[in-house]
Amino acid sequence: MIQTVCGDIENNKLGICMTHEHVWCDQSLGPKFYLFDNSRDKNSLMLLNDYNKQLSELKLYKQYKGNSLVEVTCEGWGRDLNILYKLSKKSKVHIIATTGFYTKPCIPNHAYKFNVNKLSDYLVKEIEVGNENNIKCGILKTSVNTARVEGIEEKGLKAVAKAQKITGVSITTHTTGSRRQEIKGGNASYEILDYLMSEGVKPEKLIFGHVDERPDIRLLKKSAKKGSYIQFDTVGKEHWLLDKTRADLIKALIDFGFLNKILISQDRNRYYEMTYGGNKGYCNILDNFVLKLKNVGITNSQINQIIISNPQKALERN
Amino acid sequence: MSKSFRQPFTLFTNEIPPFLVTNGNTIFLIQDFHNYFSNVHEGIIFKISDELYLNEELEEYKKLLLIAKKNIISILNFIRKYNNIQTIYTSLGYFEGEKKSIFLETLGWNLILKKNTLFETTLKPKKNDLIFSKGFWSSASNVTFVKYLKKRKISNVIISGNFLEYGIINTTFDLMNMGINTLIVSDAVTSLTYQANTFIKGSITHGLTKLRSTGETIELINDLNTNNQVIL
Repeated sequence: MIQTVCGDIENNKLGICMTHEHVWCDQSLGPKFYLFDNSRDKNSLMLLNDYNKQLSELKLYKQYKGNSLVEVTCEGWGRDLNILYKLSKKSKVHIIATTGFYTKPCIPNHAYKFNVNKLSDYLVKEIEVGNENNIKCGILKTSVNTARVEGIEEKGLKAVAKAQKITGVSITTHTTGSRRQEIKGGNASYEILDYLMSEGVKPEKLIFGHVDERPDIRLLKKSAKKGSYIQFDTVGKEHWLLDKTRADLIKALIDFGFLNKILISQDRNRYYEMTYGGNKGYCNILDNFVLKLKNVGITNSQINQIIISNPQKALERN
Repeated sequence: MSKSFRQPFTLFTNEIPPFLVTNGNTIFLIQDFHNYFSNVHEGIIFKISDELYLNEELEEYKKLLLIAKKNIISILNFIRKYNNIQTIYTSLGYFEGEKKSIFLETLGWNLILKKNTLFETTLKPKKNDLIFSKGFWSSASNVTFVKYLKKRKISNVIISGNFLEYGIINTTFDLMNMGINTLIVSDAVTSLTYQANTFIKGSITHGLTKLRSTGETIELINDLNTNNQVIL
């Protein structure tokens, strides 16, 4: 079973799924928003908060045969389960909502007050009971903003690990692209994997996000070999990596035998990434990137595994 | 449209190791923030731009300058509250009695530094702060400044100020060659354009120096006051 905002669905009802997207978010709501660089162009804020426009985006995604997506906005920067529920009902796109933590500037104030156990209980409640309307989250998220797992982010990581073992949902991760250069080996995923495994989380319950912001295939292979999912989730954001290179890396991982561990997504979170901002919104992969995968020799069946079968297994609650 | 730039070089380089920041091993550098550059009315850049009808060319710089000024003052307030990091000002130009550098001759800028009028009131150095002139973009072009860093065994330099794409980047190169870590306060530095600001922060500095916001730098100063050392 997979837990969506509109209730549980059978795995085979998930369909084509983008596993790392944003539908409703506002970065400026972060309780420690002052920790972000305040010289940045205001248009670069992660902000999606127009109901009608977001509904149109989801409907368009549905037209492209997209059937579900994971909404990875956590509490602390505008996640709204009630709106996600309405958008899901209206668009008929399954939405899996997220509990857990984004980076320090967006971690909610209660995370500082609670101890790890109480924090974990809070996350478990978001998965087991849901909000005031019983709208539930179906995945956990943990984030590391700097070179090390420390402070409030470490506390969050521990609470997420504990909640995962209780609920059986998967964990999706964030590492910050501009900080990745500071992380030993160039990618945090392997360090987070070690950390979470030491907390007792099974590697197959981990989805490593943003690996394409600074991919090191040597480390990706190691993580995949242990059983974790490798998620190329900034498809279309070619300032991190050319889509052609993403396709080459995915092909290489397939050739190394890790087809069943690959996920892809687009991490849409700014207006200029959406169709109303002149881009392809949630449809970029289906409209564009799939062709690039075919061009490097990835077959239709393998693509279907990546966008249909792998998400089913990665998001399954067990 | 995305404001981001491709930065493939970072895909090939090694990581920057953690820094140990302790009381006494770190300085806060305010580079090229003297009136010649930071005063939007009297600064040499703005005066020349008036004469050349180039005012619009500096609109983005002005905006970044105001943000950087506010942020530098915020950081200074915390440093002065705890007195745990030495503040040093370095300014392109020369004091009376110093020789004008070839670089300044080449630029055609007559930047004579006068201590009393060098900075705006809100940015004025305090008694224990140090001020160095420099004849080139890099702060390390001043040998007295370099001697100071060596004598005090400075390991880390937190950098703010003007012209990320010229002066600050050159300083980070020189300090790296001297084995000194650098942290650029990403919203307490200016560039002449947004594009330059984004590109430098995302590319060259990315593999060379750490970037932290003003808010994060203030947290660092707070943590240093509490714990006497911070790993960054």
